[in-house]
Amino acid sequence: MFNRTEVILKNELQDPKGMALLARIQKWNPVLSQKIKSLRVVDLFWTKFEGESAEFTEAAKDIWWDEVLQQKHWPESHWVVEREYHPGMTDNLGRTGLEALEICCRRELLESQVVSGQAYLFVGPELVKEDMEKITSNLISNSLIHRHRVYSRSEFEKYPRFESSEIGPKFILPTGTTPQGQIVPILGMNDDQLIELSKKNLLSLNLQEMRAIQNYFTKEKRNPTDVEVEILAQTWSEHCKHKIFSAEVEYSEEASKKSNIPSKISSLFKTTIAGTTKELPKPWLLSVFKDNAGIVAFSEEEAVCIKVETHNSPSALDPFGGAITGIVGVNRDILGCGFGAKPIFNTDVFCVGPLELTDGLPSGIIPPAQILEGIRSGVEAGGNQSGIPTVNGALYFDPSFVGKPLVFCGSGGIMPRKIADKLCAEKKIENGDLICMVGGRIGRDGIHGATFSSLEMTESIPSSVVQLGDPITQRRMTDFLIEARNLGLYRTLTDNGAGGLSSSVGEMADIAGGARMDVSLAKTKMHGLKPFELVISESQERMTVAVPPKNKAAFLELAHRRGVEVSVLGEFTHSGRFEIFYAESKVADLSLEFLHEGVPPLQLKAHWVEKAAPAGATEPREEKPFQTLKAILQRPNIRSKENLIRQYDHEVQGRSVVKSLQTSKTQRSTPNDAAVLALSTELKSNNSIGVVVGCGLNPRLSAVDPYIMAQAAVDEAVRNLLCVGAEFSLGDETVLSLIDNFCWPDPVEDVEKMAALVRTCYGLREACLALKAPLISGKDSMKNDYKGSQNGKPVKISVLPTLLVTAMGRMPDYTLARSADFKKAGDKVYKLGPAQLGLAQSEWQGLHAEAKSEVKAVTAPAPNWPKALNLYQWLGSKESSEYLRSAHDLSEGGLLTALAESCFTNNLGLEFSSALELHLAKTSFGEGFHQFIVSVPAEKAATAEKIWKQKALDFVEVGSLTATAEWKWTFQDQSHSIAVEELYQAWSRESL
Amino acid sequence: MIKALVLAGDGINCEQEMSHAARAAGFKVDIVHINDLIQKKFSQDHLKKEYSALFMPGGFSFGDHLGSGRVLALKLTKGLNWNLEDYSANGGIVLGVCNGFQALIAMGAFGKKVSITHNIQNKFINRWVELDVELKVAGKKDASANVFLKDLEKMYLPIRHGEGRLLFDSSVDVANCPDFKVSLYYSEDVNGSTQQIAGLTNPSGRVFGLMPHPEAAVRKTQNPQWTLCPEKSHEEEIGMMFFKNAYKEASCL
Repeated sequence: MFNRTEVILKNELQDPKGMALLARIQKWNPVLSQKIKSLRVVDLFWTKFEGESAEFTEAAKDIWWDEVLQQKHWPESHWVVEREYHPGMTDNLGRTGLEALEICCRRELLESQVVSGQAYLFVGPELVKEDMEKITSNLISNSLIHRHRVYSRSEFEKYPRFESSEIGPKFILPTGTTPQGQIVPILGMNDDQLIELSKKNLLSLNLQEMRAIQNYFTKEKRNPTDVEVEILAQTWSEHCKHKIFSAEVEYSEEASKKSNIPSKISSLFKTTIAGTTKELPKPWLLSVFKDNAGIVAFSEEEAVCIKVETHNSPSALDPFGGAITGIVGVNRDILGCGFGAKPIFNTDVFCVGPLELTDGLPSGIIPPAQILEGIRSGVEAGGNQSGIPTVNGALYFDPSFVGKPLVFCGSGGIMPRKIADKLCAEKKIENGDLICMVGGRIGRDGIHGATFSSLEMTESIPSSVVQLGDPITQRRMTDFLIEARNLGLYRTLTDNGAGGLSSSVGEMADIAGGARMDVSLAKTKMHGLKPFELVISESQERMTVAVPPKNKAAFLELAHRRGVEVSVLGEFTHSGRFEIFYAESKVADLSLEFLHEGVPPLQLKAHWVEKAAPAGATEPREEKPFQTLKAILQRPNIRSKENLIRQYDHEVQGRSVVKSLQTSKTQRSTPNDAAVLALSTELKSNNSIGVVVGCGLNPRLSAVDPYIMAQAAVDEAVRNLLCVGAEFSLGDETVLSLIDNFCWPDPVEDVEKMAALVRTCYGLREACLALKAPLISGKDSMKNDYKGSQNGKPVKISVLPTLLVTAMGRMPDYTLARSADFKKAGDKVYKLGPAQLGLAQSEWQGLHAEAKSEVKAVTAPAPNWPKALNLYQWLGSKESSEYLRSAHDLSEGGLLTALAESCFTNNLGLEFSSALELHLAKTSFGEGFHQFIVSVPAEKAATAEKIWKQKALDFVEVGSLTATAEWKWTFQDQSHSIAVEELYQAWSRESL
Repeated sequence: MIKALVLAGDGINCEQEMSHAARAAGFKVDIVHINDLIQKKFSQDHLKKEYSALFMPGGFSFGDHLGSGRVLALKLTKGLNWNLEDYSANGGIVLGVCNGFQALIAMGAFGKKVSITHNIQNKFINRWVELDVELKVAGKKDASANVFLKDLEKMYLPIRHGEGRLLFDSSVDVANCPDFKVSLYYSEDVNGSTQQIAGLTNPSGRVFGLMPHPEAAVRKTQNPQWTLCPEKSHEEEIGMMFFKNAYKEASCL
């Protein structure tokens, strides 16, 4: 039988979902939104049920009916829009609906199905069909994942919505075809044909790589199967293989002072990333670069692992789906790290276009405001539902991110260093261990994700690359795997992300020495998947686990008890081959050596031309610095992010010690610099070790010199940790590690972008070596370009070369943590650190550029590591916690911004020292390296100053805190003042 | 030995924090997966015999997909058929936090005239909020009105939810309903909940559900203002009182 269930909120109750959508329409198109008198949302469920209708009716009442909230009759409206997912997309509500039916009917329902959808009811007599189509296609339905229908009142009345003829087609019908592999006739192909084949099948392989495949199969004396070609394309994709970072690079430069970057670089990764870490052999590094995440020892018993991923391409197409799969994907990296870790925090950094861009964007581009709302809610859903707190992040606006947003999703996890004498960081697999696919099923969603993200974005995108996440299936899988780990039921595991089984089994086969599997045994979401689809589908929520045969029964029994599905696909071997069967027929048989080592290295050229230093750079003045500050505080990069932060659960698991926002009881907040989390949640435990997480990025400095940009990112990330009280010294006892994430415009045919990459790598290396902080994990995304058209003309938008640095440090005792807010009237405020500031690419410069006021020639910041290290060692010592009541770093927006933020929480005023030269823009708004704002109790100020002098630290007295919430600065007989409330309003009024 | 059962599985997220708090208060804690309870046919009698307290932690059971707590309630009701009214009348105590509270509502622990739905802002919200305790019966102070809230008047706790807006059937007199008592109010309107109600107790005062998270306010360093008084950083935070009161109550019997 078929059924349509309508969940209709009572007319007299306010409908938050409808009101929220209406608010979004108002923001997007204020004129059109005036035609809408009201908007309500009805949830819909279409069911195909294998039992009697009486049984269904009773169950449906238990599942969906709520007499306090709901009514039965359909409300009046002028228009109705119905929407649901395309068949085959992940439909979480539908899946839970089916599970609820099984609970009510007390049996497995193998032939039943539930599909969820929504109806949007618009009241507005002036609304016409075109309005409805416009609203629907812009804000309700994304044609890549949804299908929709728009009904006028009269059309809806005629719509036989409860009839089987309307409901039946919602469900996927099994296809009768027998899936078969195909032969790809590559042997006789000429170069043009090879390139054509690569393009047509979205392989994103270049001619040299296609030739290498051809040569391999010439030696094998046969043509490859489609499965083999697809496996090679996935494994060799830029996304999986990082060919640009492994390339042979020729570097040259035209600069006033020659850098020490060599002219021939054999693999940037080996020389500047892994090479740098090799020079910093810390005893606490348990695993770097070889696993899904870097692993660091935090105590004798516990280790913490961390990984940051990007999910840019999927988020450009479907922001919600892209971001949720990004965050649950990186959680699987943590789960699949070593012998399995439990995620304890998430981080998110978004780079998007200016939010005011709504109309006239190039074709296929989603407006930045919708991108941001989508990716924010994706990270919210992924993190919150999984019970993982989102503790740190950043939001960065620049027009270069209109084509492709950057969506960085990070996660950290905790694991015991040993379980039953097995070391957590080691991945071992024995010959004969079973290949088990655990968690979700395979569908047609997410085919070609890895290769697609290795291409530039164009207007025509196959919808198969889009996937949606299912946090609940993943949560069950995570709980099950951690339980199985503790029982010692499996040997090791890895996640199924990019490339699906081809990558996960392919990588594990490399450890074992071979693998043989039959993909027809894999559980699937639908019938009729072809062998190559089974192998490369990136359907979410799946892990591949190596299980010793003796544990098979126990592993399967526990999985069943936890409601987790397992497909036993085959076994690991030591044949040196990756063999895949579909039932009886062999569909792939590749040498592992060729698969992993056969890709020919890229040859790339890089040429750097130094930007001439601005001629006649003078010292710009700001006669009314406090008024300028108000404008700076409203800028999107500076403005309060409270609205966004509070929609993330940042406290679940109970570890939070320093939160993203330092908030008073009156709900006023100062942004904190980094997150501090308790490693142990056990009460009455002696373990008060803190995990500290922060990040830094400053892509706009790429325009000056990527070498500086990279060092600024490292410095900001590390300063953020120091603010909250992380330990720091140059000795081995300090646990401080860095994670690098590169997001680049395609540098392959562009010597300048490649030079930017080279310089960034060497800048990163210099900063790491100076701080003695090793890189432990990283990722690069190299094709962040959009190619399309705008008003009929071709356009290309490339992102700014962007390096995100995430820093993870440690505090021996988190009860000594500091927050960024000023706390007490009378305390003295200082600026610590050498003056290494500049105005180039600062928020101040942005403000003047946007106001079209004359942009003065301004200088760029530069680091001074020896001086910085002196200060950082003191800030990272226990002694500093005796003197500092607060610490905040001086970053975007400069000194006055940092001071304003610190005043907000406790609504304190500041009497500035009259010696301060706030009329110099560089003093008030300069940005750059090494500086901090701290407050010290008045009675301790003299001793603190003495210590700083002894240590030769640079410090400047800024002033004293006052109970009256006002800023006062008298300079050359002129007094300036502003109420802190005025600054707070500027900063918080339009919280993002 | 006084034992407490902490429920886990299917997207319940806060079982660890809940267990740590209960353990620190003195309980011996078993964290048990719902599927294991159902497989063992863990009946009302087993529950009564083995456990003095049942803790239902927060989380996103079944993703809140068909209404928060709803499918979890169905699974518990159909799978175990526990009668919490009877359990509490026989000495048991029950605490449902956030998603656990939502499930208690869907199970009918507070009658059939109450439901809980999306915050009026249609947003998930994580912040701390001041709460007022209501421990009055017929206008008089009565500590037995809620066994978890003894000696508590005002408190400051975190909320972390997208569906905390309590709604009552229009026929209900919220202040005088035989099916439940109001135990806790938000001091400001945070989510559109009727009369700013944050928590309900069943008539016996022994089954308590609330949206704020006491188990996430047990160490001083969890309080967002703790850095104002770093010298108190080793102290307990007020949420611990819930579990101590519960333990005291359970050990009296």
